[in-house]
Amino acid sequence: MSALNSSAPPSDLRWIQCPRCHASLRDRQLQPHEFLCCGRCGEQVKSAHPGRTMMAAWAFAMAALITLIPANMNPILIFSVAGSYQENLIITGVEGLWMQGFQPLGALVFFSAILAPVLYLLSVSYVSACWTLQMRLPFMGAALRLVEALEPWNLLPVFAIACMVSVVKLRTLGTVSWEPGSLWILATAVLTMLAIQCFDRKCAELYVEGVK
Amino acid sequence: MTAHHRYELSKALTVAAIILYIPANFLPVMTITITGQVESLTVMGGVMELYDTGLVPVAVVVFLASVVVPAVKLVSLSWLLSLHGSDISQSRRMKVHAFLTRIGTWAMIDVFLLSILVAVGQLGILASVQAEVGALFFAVMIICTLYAADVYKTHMIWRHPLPKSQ
Repeated sequence: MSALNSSAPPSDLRWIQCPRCHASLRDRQLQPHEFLCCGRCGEQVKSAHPGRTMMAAWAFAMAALITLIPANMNPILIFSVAGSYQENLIITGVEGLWMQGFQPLGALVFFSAILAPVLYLLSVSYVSACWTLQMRLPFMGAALRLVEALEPWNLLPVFAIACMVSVVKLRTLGTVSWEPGSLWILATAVLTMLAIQCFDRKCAELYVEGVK
Repeated sequence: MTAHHRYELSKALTVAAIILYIPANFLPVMTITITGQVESLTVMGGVMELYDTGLVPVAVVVFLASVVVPAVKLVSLSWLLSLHGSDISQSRRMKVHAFLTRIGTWAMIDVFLLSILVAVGQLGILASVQAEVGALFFAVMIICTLYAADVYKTHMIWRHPLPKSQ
């Protein structure tokens, strides 16, 4: 209302919104290593050094992308009955479901175990690379929206556990042997979780909007 | 999408998931053939089989992920949605929602397990695993609960609904 906050209000007079519960909070200047937390839900709303872990997120996402290649190329397990044996990759299961007439299930497994991790890691590394290099590359907003949309589809850790359970289950049917493929999947899952931990989404959102 | 649309969509998805929960748990998920013996297994049957072979920890993991998680999700989603717009235990609802999104994906373990087992089916008559209709219902049920939790945003717990006249 007054002349004070008409054009450029000092940060002590501004209100900011908690991204999680939309409560209005009084903004203020932060000391180093200080955080502004929401009083209602406890979410960290603002930190003195936004995006400090963004470079680590980039590194973890790139590492996960690299381990995703051997995870998809190497067999998860080798199953053998009476002399004939078979190597199982992630894609073999998709093919099996597709052949048996369960195309939707095959598509679902393909999407959530192969396509979604690749897209998710690509967009996380793209956005965090943009922030780390401070470059405004095209399609940054689209990549950030993709990160948000694929958030519930991070199913690689689940797939890694399913591999272990299936080894146990197949032991009753024949001979099963562990293969390095499942270890690569586990490595990718761990690296993906680290990348998610380090990825500062609030900071990326502000950067994409151009507020900084 | 406004908050009201999100609420309605979440409600519809939850109801759909509750309906799908029944065929998903009572229809067989897969048929296993070992040297001539044919066996149809439901979700619960798969857990019982693991338990019978003496692998209790693995059976517990699969039981938690594919039977308990969907049930807990459906109950807490309907609790969250039934309290929408009221101001009862709002901070507890925030915690429940965070918990929901964390455990939500684990139910997919059954679908992945099936996809790995089905690959064995290509070995022919000696041992084969065939997917059944129940798996389809199960997968759709899981997707419904995933989306219902994702569409209902946490800030909507705190916002009061619009008056009916608008």
